Amino acid sequence: MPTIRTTLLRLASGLLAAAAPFVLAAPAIAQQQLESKMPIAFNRFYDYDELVDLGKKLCAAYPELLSVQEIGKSFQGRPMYVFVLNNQKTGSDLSKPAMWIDGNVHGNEIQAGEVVLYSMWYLASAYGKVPALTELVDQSAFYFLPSVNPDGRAFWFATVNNSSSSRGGQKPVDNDRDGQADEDGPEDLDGDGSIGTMWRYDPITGTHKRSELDPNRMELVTPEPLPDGSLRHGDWSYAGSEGIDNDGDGQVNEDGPGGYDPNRNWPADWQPNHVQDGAGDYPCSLPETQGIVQFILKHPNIAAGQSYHNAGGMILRGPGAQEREATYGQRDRATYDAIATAGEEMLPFYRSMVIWQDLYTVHGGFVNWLAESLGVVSFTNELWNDKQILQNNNNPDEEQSRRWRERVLFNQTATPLTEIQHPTYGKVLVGGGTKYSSRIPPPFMLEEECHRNFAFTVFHAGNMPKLRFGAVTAKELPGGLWQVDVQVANDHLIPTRTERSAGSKIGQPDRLAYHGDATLVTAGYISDPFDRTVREVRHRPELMENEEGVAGRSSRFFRYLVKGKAGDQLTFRYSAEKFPAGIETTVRLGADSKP
Amino acid sequence: MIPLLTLAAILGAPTSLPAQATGAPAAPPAPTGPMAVAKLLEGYRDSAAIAAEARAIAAAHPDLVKVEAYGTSAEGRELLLLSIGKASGGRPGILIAGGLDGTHALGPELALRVAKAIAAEHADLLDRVTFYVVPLANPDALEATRHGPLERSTTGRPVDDDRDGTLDEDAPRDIDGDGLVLQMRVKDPPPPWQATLMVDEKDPRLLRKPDAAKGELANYLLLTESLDSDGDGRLGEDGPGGVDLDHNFPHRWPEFTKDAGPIQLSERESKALADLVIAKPDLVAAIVFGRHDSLVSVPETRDMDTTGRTPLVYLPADLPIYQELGKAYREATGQSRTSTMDPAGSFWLWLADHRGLVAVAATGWGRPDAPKAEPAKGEEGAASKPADGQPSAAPGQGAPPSDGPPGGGRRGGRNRPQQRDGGPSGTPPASGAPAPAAAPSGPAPTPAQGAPAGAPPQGPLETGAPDSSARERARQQMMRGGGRRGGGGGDGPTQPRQEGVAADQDAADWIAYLERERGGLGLVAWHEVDHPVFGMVEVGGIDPLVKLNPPASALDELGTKQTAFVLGLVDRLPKLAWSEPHVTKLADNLWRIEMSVANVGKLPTATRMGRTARTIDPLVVRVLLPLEQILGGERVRKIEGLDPGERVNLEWLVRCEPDAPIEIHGGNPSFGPTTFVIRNGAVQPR
Repeated sequence: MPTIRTTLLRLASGLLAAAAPFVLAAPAIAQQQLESKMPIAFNRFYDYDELVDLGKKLCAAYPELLSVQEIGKSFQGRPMYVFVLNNQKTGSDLSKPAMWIDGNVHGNEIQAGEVVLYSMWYLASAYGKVPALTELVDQSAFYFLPSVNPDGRAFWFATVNNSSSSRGGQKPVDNDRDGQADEDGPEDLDGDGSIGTMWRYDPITGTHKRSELDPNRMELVTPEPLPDGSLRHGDWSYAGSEGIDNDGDGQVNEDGPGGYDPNRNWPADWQPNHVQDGAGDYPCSLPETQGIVQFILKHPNIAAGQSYHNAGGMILRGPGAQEREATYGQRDRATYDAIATAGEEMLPFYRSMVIWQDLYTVHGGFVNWLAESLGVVSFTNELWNDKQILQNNNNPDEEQSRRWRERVLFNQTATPLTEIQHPTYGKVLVGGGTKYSSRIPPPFMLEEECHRNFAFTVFHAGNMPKLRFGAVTAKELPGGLWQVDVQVANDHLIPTRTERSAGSKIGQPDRLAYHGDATLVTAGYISDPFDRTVREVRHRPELMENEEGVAGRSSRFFRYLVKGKAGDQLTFRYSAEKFPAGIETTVRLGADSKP
Repeated sequence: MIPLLTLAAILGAPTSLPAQATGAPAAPPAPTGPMAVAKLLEGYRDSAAIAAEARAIAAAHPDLVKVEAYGTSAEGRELLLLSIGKASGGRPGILIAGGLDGTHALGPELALRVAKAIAAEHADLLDRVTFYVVPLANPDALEATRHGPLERSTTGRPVDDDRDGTLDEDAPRDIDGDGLVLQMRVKDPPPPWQATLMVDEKDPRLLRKPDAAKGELANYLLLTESLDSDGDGRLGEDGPGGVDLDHNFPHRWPEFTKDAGPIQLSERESKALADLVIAKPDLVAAIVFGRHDSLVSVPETRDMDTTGRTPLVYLPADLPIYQELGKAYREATGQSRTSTMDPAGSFWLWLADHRGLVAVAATGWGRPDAPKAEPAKGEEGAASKPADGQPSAAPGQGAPPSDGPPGGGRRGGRNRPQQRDGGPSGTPPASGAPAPAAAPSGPAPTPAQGAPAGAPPQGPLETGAPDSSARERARQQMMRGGGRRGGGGGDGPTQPRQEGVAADQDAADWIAYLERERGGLGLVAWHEVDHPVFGMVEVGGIDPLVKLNPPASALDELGTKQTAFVLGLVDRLPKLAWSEPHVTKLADNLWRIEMSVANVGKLPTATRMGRTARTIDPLVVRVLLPLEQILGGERVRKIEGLDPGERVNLEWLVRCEPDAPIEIHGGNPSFGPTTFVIRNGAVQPR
């Protein structure tokens, strides 16, 4: 038997891991109440200017961690800021796996902005105090965009709206196709600052009546026969949202401001308006979308994505359309499931869902673009759902909702029905919920919403790929030939290349480079250390391309045949787009080469 | 006939390069060969001359023609638009665009000739129509092609086609220094390369697929003329540029395929073109000159895309329009042969399906047939040339051309036009004919991991099938793009599986044409060249430029024919006929108004696709009275579309003081406005 000496040469850790240790022996109790250089109240909402102003103040308070980049302007010219959280001392942001976190692409879904702001605030404030977050910040970068839709957010705060209006931006669209754009929007007729609902007086064919118990509630009247043979009817009928017929075409509120959906304008599976209503003229036709897409395309280090919306208590992943099911392979689905399942536990009353299957069909959605075109593991969270009111897994019924409004919110979100004279409808009742009456948590619950969702993204970000060299073993073969097996391990859940990336050849493949004293004869892949046959890489084995990457919580194995002698030094370097700094190890043939 | 290998006396000695290319090899000789690109495009304008001609047309007709830049190319060239029409607007618009592709030099020439003819000779039409002419949508590509030796379809922005972190480092190369990048064929290629073809005994210049039933074994590999400049085992897989504008538009955008771009409309040139179209709501029709055709061979598929709501090509309900236009085109131009390409992501397909325009694509020229009489040998004068587009003398030559733009990259082949006979359904190709000197798909990649490290480039894919049904299936598959179920990648068009024995008749016909009518221009016989990867190879083939671009002497006549087609299109444009309002007094201050509007043109005011996509503005008829005075009828009436011969009746019941005017306005950006004023029950003279 030939002399075979197998030596475990070295277990090298990654460069970043080596740079990480920053241990602070703070008492546990101190972590419960985070001191920040920049206190921010998270029991209130901020309009667009306030939101980005707070972001900039955070940057000023934590300049070593936070910086701001303008990535373009909104349709109305508001600057759009990406806040970059990165510890320059451990490398540039582009040298680290990064997470993209945004919110509020729908202008009315405002608490998304606070959740993003909270996330950057918490990470910056916790750095150096909370070891787990310190380590996360040292090893990763974050790109925060608190509001994808500055115009929609600004409009929602500044003008009369309801909880669903100002969903889009402010680019005029001729929704009623009469040749004029945005000429007939809603109006606040009762002066409560919100767009409520209108009921027109209809004593002959009315479908509703005012509740005797609660005059602010309208009750449906079922048209049952009365003793005289006539049908029972009410005296009020629903007349749409609050407003008048501005353009005199006989229709009310049919062409309000904007009138499109910015979250249908992204370049993945984009479909025109007749397939996907609100999609815009073409993918990235909106300046907001275009600016963000260009930023993200320049940051291939983004390995995780999170987008915040409201409402419904959902952790959503793609695809947005059934015909795109195959874009999520089994391996990728397992990665998504592992992260989303953890999220369900962190976020009570939230459920993990697939967009097309459990919500509705979406073409041209943002997280779909991240996941399906860029191979980035990404979720949309629909913030807040009504189960959080009773906290018993049931939605409150109408009476419970009334009591909640009355006893907990002190009727701040309701406007009593008041009678006014409408130019088209005559006598109408106007009122109902204010713009804060649904989809948005009451301020006293906002901070919890922020923290739990932030924690979910910490879990997600903490699972971006982390590479290290595992066993590197050299076996001498007759004739001065050595067989060197190299293990590259990924300790986290997210692969260096998702199944989607590998299958569609997205971005660059991982690479394993060799240089050293021994002459490289050939090299290739083995499936495990016991694999007898090597799948040779015939061209440029000194720079092997690994299209499949390294899967989550697993290893890839490579085998080199080199000609050399004991004592020769061999250096291996593995790099991946989602782990840009890469890892390097140097081993010595035939000897234990502990440094 | 050029005898096989007689040109082996290559210009200069065989290029010898180190076997293991460590860096970029020495630059090949300058394109001085007699076949250099400049010669192939002799008499065609460059981008500066095209711009100058556009400005000259505008300067000659300042009252009718306006020239402006609608954008700038990646290399900083102005993208020019000619607007030809009356300043008042309100007329249906026709877009004429060319030069999206740098190899189709013909397009700008035709667009300019049509523009000039309209401004100079047909200004009377401008009461009916406004023209928007974009002669050169991709100037950088045309300039790159003219500079040679590598002809380029794509934009100038570098793209890392092979995803190795280095841009444009391994372009197909002019190895023999003749000024052209053609093909190379390798006999008995070394492993891991695999031969897929063999020499066709009927014409040894051609290669064909072996017939396994006869025990034949392939011994030739056909590739684009290229080295392996970056030593990655792939040949010519990362050339200069870019994005193919006709793969960059949103309808059926072929994501993840070579030259499609990172997102839809990722290029300055394509985005500017899209924005231009959207900014012209008066547009009703468009003609795009390029490698695509929808007129000689009207795409008949009735299939829909993966959403089931947008057609693969034309909405079935609109097909009769396109069949009529195809007939008109063939009659006006005489063109009977063209190439077909998968229109996924093309400009014209986007115009048709996302913008709802009557949008057609024209190559502008097809290979003429051999004269029916005994063909004269060698190049003869124009007198002996058959008129372009005589009826095919040898029907059934549905085979692909024998060469094409360089392949390589992730999925090659998309750039290759396939020559095809005209007629709405095409004619079946000769069955069982031998294969062309065609590039096969590259050998199978060696590493089982799917890592492409050892994979040679995937050459331009070849089509052609043994029988018409298989060929039609292949075409259908190509046209279909990704299936509804989206297997595999699940989205994006699926590249056709190119199987079967292809016919070489088309290649033979091209050779015959080039020898007969162009003195062998663009035809390079196989000649031996030393290759760093393979040792001795043969370089040769047909340059794609001569298949797309006829001799410059033909341009004026072709321009006249295209103008004739455009004039026919103007004649077909929708035309509104408003009837005078008929007013009846029902009581004091109460009037009934009845009128109608009809389309007396030959095209609808909006295609069915335009109505579906809601991109063509409806005709809006407004009664300018307060709503409360309108007791019957809608104050704002919207008519989504009028078919030819269709009339819509309009009726209102209005209250109005006798002396107060009642105004009725009708129109949309393409028509109007038309105004009627009624006073005291009488319509005021207009």
